[in-house]
Amino acid sequence: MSSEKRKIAYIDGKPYEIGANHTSILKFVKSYVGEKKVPTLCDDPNLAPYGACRVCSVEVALEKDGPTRMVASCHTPVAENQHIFTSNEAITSLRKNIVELVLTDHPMECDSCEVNNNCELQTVANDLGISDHRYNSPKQHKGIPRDTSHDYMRMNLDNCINCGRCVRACDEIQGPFVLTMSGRGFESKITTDNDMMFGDSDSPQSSITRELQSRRGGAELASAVLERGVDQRPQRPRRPGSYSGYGDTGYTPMPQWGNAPLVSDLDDIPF
Amino acid sequence: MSKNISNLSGRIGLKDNLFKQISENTLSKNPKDIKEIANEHNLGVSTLHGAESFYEFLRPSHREKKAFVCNGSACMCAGTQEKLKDTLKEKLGDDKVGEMFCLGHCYENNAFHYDGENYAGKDIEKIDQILKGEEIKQDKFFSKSYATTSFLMDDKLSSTDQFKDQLNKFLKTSKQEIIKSLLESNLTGRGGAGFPTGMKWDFCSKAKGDKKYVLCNADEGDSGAFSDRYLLEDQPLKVIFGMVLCGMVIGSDEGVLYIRGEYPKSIEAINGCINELKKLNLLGDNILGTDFSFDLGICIGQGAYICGEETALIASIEGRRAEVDVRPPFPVTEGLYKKPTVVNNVETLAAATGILINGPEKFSAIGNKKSAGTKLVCLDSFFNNPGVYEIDMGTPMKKIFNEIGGGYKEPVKAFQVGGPLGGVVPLSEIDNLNLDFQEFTAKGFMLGHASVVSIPKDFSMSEYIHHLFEFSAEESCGKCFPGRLGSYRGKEMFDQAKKGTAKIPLKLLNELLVTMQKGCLCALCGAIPTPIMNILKYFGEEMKNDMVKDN
Repeated sequence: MSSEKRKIAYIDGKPYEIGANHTSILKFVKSYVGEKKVPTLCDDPNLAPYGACRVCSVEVALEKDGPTRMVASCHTPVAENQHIFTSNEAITSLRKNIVELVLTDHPMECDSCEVNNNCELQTVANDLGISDHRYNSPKQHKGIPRDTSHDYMRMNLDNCINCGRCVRACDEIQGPFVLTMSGRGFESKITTDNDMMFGDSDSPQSSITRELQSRRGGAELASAVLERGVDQRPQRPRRPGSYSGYGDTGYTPMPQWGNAPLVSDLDDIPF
Repeated sequence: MSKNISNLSGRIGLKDNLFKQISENTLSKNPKDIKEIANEHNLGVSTLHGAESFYEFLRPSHREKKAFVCNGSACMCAGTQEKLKDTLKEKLGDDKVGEMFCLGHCYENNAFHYDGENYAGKDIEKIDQILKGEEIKQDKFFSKSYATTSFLMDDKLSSTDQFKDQLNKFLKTSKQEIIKSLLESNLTGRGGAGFPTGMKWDFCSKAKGDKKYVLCNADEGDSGAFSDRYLLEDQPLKVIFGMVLCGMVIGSDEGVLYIRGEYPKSIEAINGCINELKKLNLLGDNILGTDFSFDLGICIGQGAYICGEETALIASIEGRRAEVDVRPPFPVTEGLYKKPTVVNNVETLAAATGILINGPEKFSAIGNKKSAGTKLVCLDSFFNNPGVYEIDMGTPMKKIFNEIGGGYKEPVKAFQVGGPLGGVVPLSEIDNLNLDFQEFTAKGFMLGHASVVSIPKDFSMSEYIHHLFEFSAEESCGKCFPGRLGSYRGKEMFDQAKKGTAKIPLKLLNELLVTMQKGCLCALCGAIPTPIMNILKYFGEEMKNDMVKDN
C-alpha cells in the first residue's frame, strides 16, 4: 500500500482522487465523469495544452463555498481540495457566447458539408443549443482558395476555426514544421511553408511525401525527422504513413474535427 | 506550445537570436531567402514565415511607407493627428503615410515617426529640414520627483563610477540578503500584474537549470505612458544595474532588454550604456575580477503590443509567433528557451536598484503593504504641467492632477489611467481615489502603469470605445477564440454605429464583454472590457441614442 496520502478534489460536489495522470482539470474531470461533460474545440490529449478555444472553461473554488474563478480546464492544474464546477449559468453562457463567436466566421452550411453529423463543432454547438449567431453582418473569411494540389492532403480554410491542432501535430508529433499560423489577430490563418501549396514541387510536404513513397515505411520517416535535430519528441510507436501526425492520435482527423483544415485520408494512403 | 522550436532556437542562443535574424533579414536591403535561415537551424520555413508575418513592421504594407503618425489614445484625444497626417501626405505622397501605436510623446502630441526617428510637438513645423535629413533640436519631456525619498529619479546612479562603486558593494552582498531587502521593501511588479519582485527572484534562484536568463520587458506600448522611456533614456544605469543584480541573485550570466522599435532613442541610450559598461568590465566576463559574468544585449520589437505580455515576449525572442502561452509553467521555472527566467518591467528593475541603494525600509515606509514605495506617473498634454513624475503611493489623485499637474488646459470629462487596458475614470471619481493599485481595482478601474490620458469634454465616448476595440482587434495575437473574434466583432459593432448603419445592441455587447473578460487567455483582450464597461456605466447616457436594448 502506498504510504502517500491520497489527494482529493471535488467535481460538482463529489469527491474524487487525484491520480498521477491528472495533469489538468480537464483530464481529471474526463477520467471520472466522461468525455462529454466539458466541451472542447482545440484540445487534443496527444498535444500539449494550448488554451485557445476556452469552451472547456470551468469554475474553481479553492475551498468549499469559497469564491470561484473561471479557468480553462485544459491548462489549469488540479489541486487538492479544489471544488470544480463543470456547469452553471455563467459557464454555460460563456461557452454559448464563445461558440456563437465561432459561428460568426463559419459557413452555416452543415447540410451540404462533407462532415455533416460527424463534426466536433456541430456537436458542441448542438449540445449548447446554438444554431445561429446574433451579430450584424460580420466579416467572414470566405472564399479562400482551396488547396487541392496534393494527392493526399487538401485544405479548405473556409471551414477552419483556428484550433491550431494541425499546426501543433505537425510540430509536436511529426516535426517537419510544414504548417504554421500566419498573420495576427482576426486575420491569422493556417498556411503551409511560405504560403505554398501542399503540392508545390519543392515544398517540404511534397518532399516528405516523396520520401515516404519511395521508402514505404514509417521507421525511415521517424529517423528522417529525428535527424532534424529535435531531441524531445514523444516516443510513441509510429503508424506507417503517419506523416501528417494524425497516425499517432489513432483517429482520422477530418471527420471528427470537422473544422480542421488538413485533410489526411490515412486509409487511402498506399503504404 | 512548441518545446521543439524553443529548444532548436535555444541552440542558436540569445546573442544572435532567431527573432533578430528574422527581423534583420526582412528589413535588410537584400534579404536572403528565409529558407536558408530555416535550414541552418533545422527549423521549418513555416516557422519563420509564421513569426515574420506576425509583426507590423515586417509586413510589406508597412515597409513601403515612409512616415507613421501616432494613433495612440493621447494623440487621438488631442485631435492633432488628422492635420499632421495631411501635412505628411502632402510632402510624401498619400500612400507613404502609415500609423504606429503610441510613440510615447503623449505630453506634446503631434507625434510621428520618420526614418528611424520620432518627432512630436512643434517638430512638424520643421518638416522640410527633417526630410532633408538635418538634425533638429527637440523638446524633452519634463520630469520631477515629488516623492518623500526618490528611488527612480535621483542621481545616485548617473555615472559609470557610481555604477562601479555600487556594483563592488553588492557583489559582496549575499543573494539571500538582496532577496530579503526586496521582500521587505514590498515592491510589486510595475508592469501590471503586481507580483512581488523579491518572490519572483527567489523562485528563480531556487529553480534548477543549467542556464538562466534575465529579461527586461521594455515593450511599453501603453498609450499615455512614457515612464519606461524616461528610465531607459534618463536612468539607463538604474535599469541595467537591476538586471545585473538579478543575474547575480538567480545565477544567470545573460540577459536581454526587449525594447519596442517605436522608441529609437531608448534603444540608442541603452546601447550606448551597454557598450560603455562592457569596456569598463562592468558587464561581460568576470566582472570586476570576480567569478560572476553577465552579458547583456538588446532585442528590438517590431510592432506588436502583445510582446509586453511575458510569455509572448519570450516566444518573440525565440523566433516563434508572439502568441501568449498557457501558464503554468511560469517563466521562473520554464522561460526563455525553456530555462528559468525572470521577466521584469523596466520600472520594476529601476525600483529594485533604488531600493537596494536607499534601503528597503524607506520604500516600505511609503504607501501600504500592497501598494508600497513610489511610482512614476505620466500626465498628458491636457494638464498644465505635462510630464513624468515620481510620486508616493497613496497620494490623493486630486493632488496629483491639480497641484502637480497644475489642473487642465481645457475641460475634460474622464481619464483613462493605466493604458488602453486600464479603467476610464470619470472626473468626479478622481476626488475619491488615491494612487493605490488595490483602491483602483476595488472601484472597477486599474492603475496599471499609472499613465493618464485625458478625454476632453466634447470627445464622443462611443468613438473612444471604437478606438479601444480597434486597438484590441489590431493587436490581439489571434490565438484565443474570444480574443480574436470578440475584439473584432466589438470593433464592427462600433464601426456600424459610427457609420449609422446599425445601432449598438446593448445586450449582446454586454454578453460579449463578459465573455472576453472571463474567457480570454491573457489580459489584452481580457482586460479591454474594463474601460469599455466603465464608459458604459458612467457615460451610457451619452450613447443612448446609438443603442438598442434588445437584439
